[in-house]
Amino acid sequence: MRILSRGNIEGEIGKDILVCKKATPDAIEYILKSKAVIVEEGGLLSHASIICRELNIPCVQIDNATKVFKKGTPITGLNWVYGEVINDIDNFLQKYKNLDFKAIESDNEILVRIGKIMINNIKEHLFETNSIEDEEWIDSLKSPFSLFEKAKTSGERIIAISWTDKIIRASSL
Amino acid sequence: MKHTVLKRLKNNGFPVPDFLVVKPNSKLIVRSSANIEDGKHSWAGIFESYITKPKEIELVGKSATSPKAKLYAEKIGYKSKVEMNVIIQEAIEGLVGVCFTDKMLFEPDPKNKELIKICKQVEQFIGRPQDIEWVIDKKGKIWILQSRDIS
Repeated sequence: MRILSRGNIEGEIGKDILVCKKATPDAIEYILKSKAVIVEEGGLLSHASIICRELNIPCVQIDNATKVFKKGTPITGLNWVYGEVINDIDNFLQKYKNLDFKAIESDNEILVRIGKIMINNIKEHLFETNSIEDEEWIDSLKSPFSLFEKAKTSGERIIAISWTDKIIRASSL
Repeated sequence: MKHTVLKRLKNNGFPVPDFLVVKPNSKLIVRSSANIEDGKHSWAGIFESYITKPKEIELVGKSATSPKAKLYAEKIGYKSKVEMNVIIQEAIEGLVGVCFTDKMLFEPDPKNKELIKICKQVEQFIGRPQDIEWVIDKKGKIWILQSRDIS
């Protein structure tokens, strides 16, 4: 899992979002027609990655992408954590319950980074924000987790990505 | 243009393979030049030379107006005509890769100190971070195939 070109991936697989094995120069025509790209194989320095960065088309590499993402699947937002595709949100939260998270809000996006609060605490405090000390990032924390909640009810997929080991990005709803 | 950078690099001692630049509608002539030609005996007219117009040269030319090129031009707001030139070069087989000199990222990473040095020198020579295509041939010699500013 790697971010090849930063940005939020939102839309429908096969319509707005191109999913392909490898972004060869032949795929560039389709990339140019897409709002975002998910590739199974490919590096930061490939022609396709260069074009995506140049034109601000978000692009990520995710293993088995062509198997995971079926045509017509809606993607609500591009989210976070260790490059996993989150299929089961409860399982995901359980798995990362010991990780520390912190959120930093910038213009239109929220950066959540591993910080001082544990994810199970975040979940607990999600709807009880009074108990979290640092008020600055309370609202930021709401977004990714309410997105989990939303995805849970709607059945939409959330993609988990990070673009460094420590910085995790969430798009606001 | 790709070839102007290559020419500058070559003229300044960088390991760029020999090349020539032609227009997409050009005919080429491939000529004999044997070890014994034009010596004591002329061997005049003994060996063969041919005029050729490889379809690949035309195809490179046609790629200037491909759907992909038109779409890209539209996206970046380029409205003028694309003037194509074609580089003719001996194909070098070996390990081919790229390097972004701003972070000295290599794909694939050959862990080759000489290559790292050459890429850094190319960046210093051009004066800006470069996206470099390189090849290490079967004898281990490094060649620079392309260098452009990181977009």
